[in-house]
Amino acid sequence: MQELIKYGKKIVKAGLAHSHFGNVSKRVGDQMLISTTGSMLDELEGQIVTVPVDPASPDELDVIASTEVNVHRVIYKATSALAILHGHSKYAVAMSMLYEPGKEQIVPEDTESIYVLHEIPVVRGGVGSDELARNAATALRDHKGIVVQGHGTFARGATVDEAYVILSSIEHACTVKYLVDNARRRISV
Amino acid sequence: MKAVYGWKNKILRIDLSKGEVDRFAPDASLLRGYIGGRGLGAKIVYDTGRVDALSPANLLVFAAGPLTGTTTPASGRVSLSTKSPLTGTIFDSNCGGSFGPELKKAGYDALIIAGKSQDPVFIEIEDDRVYVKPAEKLWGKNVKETTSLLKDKGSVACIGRAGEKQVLLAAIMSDAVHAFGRGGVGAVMGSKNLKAVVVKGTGHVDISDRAEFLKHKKSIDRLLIASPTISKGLSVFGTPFLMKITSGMKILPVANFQKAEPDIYLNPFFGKNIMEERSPKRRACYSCPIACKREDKEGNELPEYETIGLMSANIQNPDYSAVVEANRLCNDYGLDTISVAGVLGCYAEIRNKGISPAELLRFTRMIGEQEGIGEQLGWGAKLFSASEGCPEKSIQVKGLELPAYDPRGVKGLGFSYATSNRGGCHTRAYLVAPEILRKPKAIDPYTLAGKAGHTKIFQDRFAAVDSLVVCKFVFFGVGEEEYANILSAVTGVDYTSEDLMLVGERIWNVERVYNLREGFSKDDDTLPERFFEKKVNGRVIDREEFLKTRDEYYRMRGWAENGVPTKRTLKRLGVI
Ligand code: SF4
Repeated sequence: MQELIKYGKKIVKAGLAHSHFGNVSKRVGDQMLISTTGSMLDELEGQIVTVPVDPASPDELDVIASTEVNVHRVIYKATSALAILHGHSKYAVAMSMLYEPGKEQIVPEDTESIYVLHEIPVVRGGVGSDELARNAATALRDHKGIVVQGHGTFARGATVDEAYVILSSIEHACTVKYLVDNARRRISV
Repeated sequence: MKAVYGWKNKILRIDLSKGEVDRFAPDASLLRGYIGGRGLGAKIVYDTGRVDALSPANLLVFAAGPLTGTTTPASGRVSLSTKSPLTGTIFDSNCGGSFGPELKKAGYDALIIAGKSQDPVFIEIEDDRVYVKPAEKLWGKNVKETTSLLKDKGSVACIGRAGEKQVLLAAIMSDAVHAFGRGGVGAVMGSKNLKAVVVKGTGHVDISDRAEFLKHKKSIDRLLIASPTISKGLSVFGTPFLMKITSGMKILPVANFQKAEPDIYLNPFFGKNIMEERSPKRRACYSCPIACKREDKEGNELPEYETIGLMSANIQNPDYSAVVEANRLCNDYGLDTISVAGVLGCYAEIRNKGISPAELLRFTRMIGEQEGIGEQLGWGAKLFSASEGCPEKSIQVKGLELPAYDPRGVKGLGFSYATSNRGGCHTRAYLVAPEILRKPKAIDPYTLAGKAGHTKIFQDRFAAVDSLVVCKFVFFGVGEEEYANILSAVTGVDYTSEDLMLVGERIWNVERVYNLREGFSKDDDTLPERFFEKKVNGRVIDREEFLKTRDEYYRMRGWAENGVPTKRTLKRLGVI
């Protein structure tokens, strides 16, 4: 619980999500701790609930859990992740919108990001939808982080700390790529 | 004659003393300005002047709304207005089932019942045909039996033995399981020697613009599916999904609101557990896609959250089956479950004991039969505790027992109990949505800051919703904008969401002025002392902050410092 509270604060402080957006979770056996809907990521004290991981086992607390609770569930089911962080960072969202349909991934330019992330899949699906859950889970089987087109980022890890590294790396990779793409365009003009 | 859509433009009035039946067309401005349901009922009851609640002069006004009888999602409810014998305030009660749609299809926006019959009677309505018939053979029977004897004639609203005996906690039951609960409205019906009203309609409700109507209906349906409270909560578990949430927040009342930690194991009362143990069937009110009602294999209605919450930890009863049976008994006697549980909580505290499962059933029967201690318990918590010399042990506002949310942990909701026109009730502002379920936008339940404005807005909003008449639960997912759109499409009268808010504010002020005329004052806009004095889960309501919030609320309402609406406000709203 304390870890989620700590990293909720860090996510907002680093600009990886606005206070009112994003969500965080941590898997503990067949249960997960997840932030509540409408909570502020940098004020998560008392705003984390425990619900089952199994998507076939709905729980009363789903009502107040993050709207993305089912996306987290399907990712946990499909991967070995023990923590998932969801942010709405600016450059990642912008880059996902600049990509034409058909281009399914963002390829980082800087060596650190290439090393950590390889490439970043761009997936589609409405907020909290089954389509998003499916697409995100499939992409996260082979990658540590993804961007949902026009929406935000998902990162997974064996620990909350590891997921945070991925979440911030995605934004770093997208920022560098955006700047490089822009500079190249100017130079070629 | 100009075509009228949505409304029927006809009110049926029956005077049981004179044996007269008449029909009249309401003034167009009455329907436009009060819409129907609670608003129409409040205005009619207000215009009647001061009456004794159990005298023939008191009215029972069953009022539908312009959407009733259409296929608008969750519009199958109907409102009942009267003066409450329990609280002495103006009172409205809102009920599901199919009574409202049948009334509309029979051709009426409202049914006004005045006077008192010499002998027991029931009213039978089939379109234009209206009969007042002897009910000697029905008198003395409970709700289930009465309903099964009458149901071939139409939708039945009747009282059980509790209403006949004018128990102040009596409800009127519609189609046997839907309650016009709270406020002792069943006692008013009993005081008129009226056992039942049966209504059947063969007509339909005209819609002004069908294409627009279907468009807005579709958009409402889509929003309902998208709402997690509805799709992951109400539709899956029914209202008992709230048990796990409120107990987790430590706002489930325990031992008559004395503490936060229950002495009983709560798991059997949780929604998921009930699903697994009982595999209940889903049931819906007329034209409702949410279907939050649950019944067991024998067709018995399973209890709602409020009943479970107040008949478990609050009276220290560990047995869910006893709650199911007490709920069934309340439905059959025609008793309000919240008030029955509230007065039992008060009794338990006074006697310094819990209520065992067997006692829960025995006391419920005794209240229904007005037998032994049941007679005093049937007066409600306020009078019962006063008769025992300890008024501080009744957890009520304006005489109405509180619902199953401890106000120390949901302060806006608590403030809305205090300022409610019908007494301690959660449905007036329904701040359960933002403070507990975090919809449409989460607000901090642990502070009173900003709650004066929230309370006003939500009170006005739901006064309008109760006038449409639409179930409050849809507003977990849908805004008043969508209902203003569909109202315009049905009636052909252009309504915006701001118009609806203004109608709500008008209704709220009419109700307020009624209560002031009855002698209520600022001093009644308060909460039981223990909420200011005794901490539960480390929380208490700060009295100074509460009083400041109340002053701010009066200012926001355009009322004077003493809580009386100013002439300017009443003029602005067209009340005077
Ligand atoms: S949500 Fe429940 S109470 Fe409301 S109209 Fe639908 S079935 Fe009836």
